[in-house]
Amino acid sequence: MKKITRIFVLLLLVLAAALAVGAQDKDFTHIEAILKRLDEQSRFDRTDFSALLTMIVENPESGIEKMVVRQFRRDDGERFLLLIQEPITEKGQGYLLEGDNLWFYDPSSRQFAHTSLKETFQGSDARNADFGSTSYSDSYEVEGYMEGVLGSFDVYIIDLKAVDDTVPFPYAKIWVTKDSELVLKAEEYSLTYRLMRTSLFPKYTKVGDVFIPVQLIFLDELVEGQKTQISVSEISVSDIPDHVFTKAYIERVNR
Amino acid sequence: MRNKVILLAVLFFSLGVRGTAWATDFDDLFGGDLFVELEEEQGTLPPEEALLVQDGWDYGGNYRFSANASRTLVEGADPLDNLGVSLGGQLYLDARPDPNFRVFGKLGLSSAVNKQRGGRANAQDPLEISLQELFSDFNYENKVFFRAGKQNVKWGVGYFFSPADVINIGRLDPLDPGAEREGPVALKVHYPRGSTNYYLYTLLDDVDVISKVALAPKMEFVVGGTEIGLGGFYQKDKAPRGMLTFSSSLGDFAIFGEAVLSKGSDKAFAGDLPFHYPVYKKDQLFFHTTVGARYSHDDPEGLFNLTAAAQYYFNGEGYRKQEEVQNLRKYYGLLLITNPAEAAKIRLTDLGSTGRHYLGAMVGWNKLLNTKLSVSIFLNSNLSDQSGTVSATLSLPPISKISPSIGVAFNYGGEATEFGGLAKSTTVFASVTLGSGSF
Repeated sequence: MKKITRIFVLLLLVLAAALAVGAQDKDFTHIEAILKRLDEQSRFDRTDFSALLTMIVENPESGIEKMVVRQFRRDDGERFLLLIQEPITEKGQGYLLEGDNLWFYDPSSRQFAHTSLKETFQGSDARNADFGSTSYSDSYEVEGYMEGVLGSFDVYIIDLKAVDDTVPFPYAKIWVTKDSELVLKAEEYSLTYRLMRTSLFPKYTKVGDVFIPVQLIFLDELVEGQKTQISVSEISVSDIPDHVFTKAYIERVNR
Repeated sequence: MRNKVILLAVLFFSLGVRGTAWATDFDDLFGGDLFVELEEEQGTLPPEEALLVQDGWDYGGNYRFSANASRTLVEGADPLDNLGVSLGGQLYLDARPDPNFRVFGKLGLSSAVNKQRGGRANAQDPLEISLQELFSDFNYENKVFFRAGKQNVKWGVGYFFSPADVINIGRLDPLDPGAEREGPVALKVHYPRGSTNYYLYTLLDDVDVISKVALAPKMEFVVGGTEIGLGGFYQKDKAPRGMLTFSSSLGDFAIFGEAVLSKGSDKAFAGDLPFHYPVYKKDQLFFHTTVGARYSHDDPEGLFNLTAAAQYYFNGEGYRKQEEVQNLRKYYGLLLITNPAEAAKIRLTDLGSTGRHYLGAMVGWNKLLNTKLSVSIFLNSNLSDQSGTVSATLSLPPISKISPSIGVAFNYGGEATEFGGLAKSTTVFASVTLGSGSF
């Protein structure tokens, strides 16, 4: 009986130790803090933002297509406006985000239609959500992390799980620089943990207090050779008039 | 003072990404400096104003040239062969002297050649030029926006049917719902406030006295992820209407709906006997409602790029007893032969949209199983008299700017029904567009 009691106690101790180690492993407070800071330094809370986006979409079947998009962004109120300038066949098409609502404007029918942030942008590998502010700390919970190296940068490789359906994919893995706390790479996974898309952010610039990627590369992991590169230029953080973030403005700039 | 930050021009050609042969060795991409130096530039026009002015003026349009060969098989008649050649396009001019004023005009051009074997001689239609839009945009302190002139108007959210849309002159064609529709001559006043938009349309088509000017106010607002529209229409001697619209999403589906209540109808109805036409119902309340959904599926392998839409429409102005309007159609057919002048008194619009229940549906399969083929099928059905039309088109792989397609269209329904009324027919066709495009 004494022996059984001893074994039982021993088992309890082993279990407690395992739980303690597990609890220690699950303490991601410092990673969560990094995600919070990462979000803060990528948001334009005190200024507006506008830029010209040049997108090169490479499709193994249809070849290479260039798109030029004017972006206006105001993170206070979660607004953005994307206006397509090139190619001429799509000129004037626009996306207006207001909080949770995203409208697509088709100049040929002069109609606004509700659409989703999760949709791909104009058949590219970018998604509509890629053009607004991101919030890793709100949209994901940390599932694990490890330390590593990407190129010449020491990074945290963080496994994330979406906590709601506001993001396009339920799982993500991000490579975050240890020193500047910027995302260099992201992999997004389906529910079955199939790699769907890889995003690369090899160049950043600092505008005021905000860091923004000025080169973005999106690789479609399901279609070999399908990729999109976005170059950001003509960056401005000047105030944008309120009337720009309206349907009226989209109609005025259009034919 | 405007602070504008411009990236160095050479930036993107020196990032280790050479041409379009993008590096897949990610370590190479992250081997150098992470940060890019910027230089500031000041004094140019703000981008939001530059877009409003653009180059001061712009012109362009589109060109289309197509041929359609068809054979129509009609019950009890010889097959009818037809070759239609259509030539046309649009031309526009967009003048923007300053950010707060612009004038836009668009002309439609069309010319057609019709050849019918065994009968008519070739006939060259004269060139038709139509004014499709001509309006100016101006505003009051960038708060209230005006558009004055002939303009395309967005009113209603329906895809195949839009009972709320009494503004546009052109009607929705359920077999071609994306087609451009003729808009009214109007003054549009638009006041956006946050995500709420207020509109007032003053409509001037066919108005010869001020008391006949039509007014149509509308507001759009957002509740959660749903946009709701409330509006009305008033014109002397026409049925006043109130309307409610919504558009939202449900999972992967975009959903939409309209509800309209009108006091009286602008249509004339048949009575118990066909020669009782026209019967007017000016004091009766009519209710219309429609609801529909659109769905897009784009699988990663590109095998099933599908779009689909379906919409149900309850038409309160439809006949409870379909026999009444069917008798009117038979009477109209008889008058066409015996007394055309009397037949002309029956408005064709009174013979259409006579069912109580309608269904519109569409399925499109783009790049069929990852080939260069695409297929689309449209259905427009009057469920009340069980008639309808179906059209299916298979788009073949384009060669340069030559885009061929083949298809079949047929109608169904009994005698004197809305779509099967004259005779059941099936048309097979082959079409080709040649060198069409925008410029």
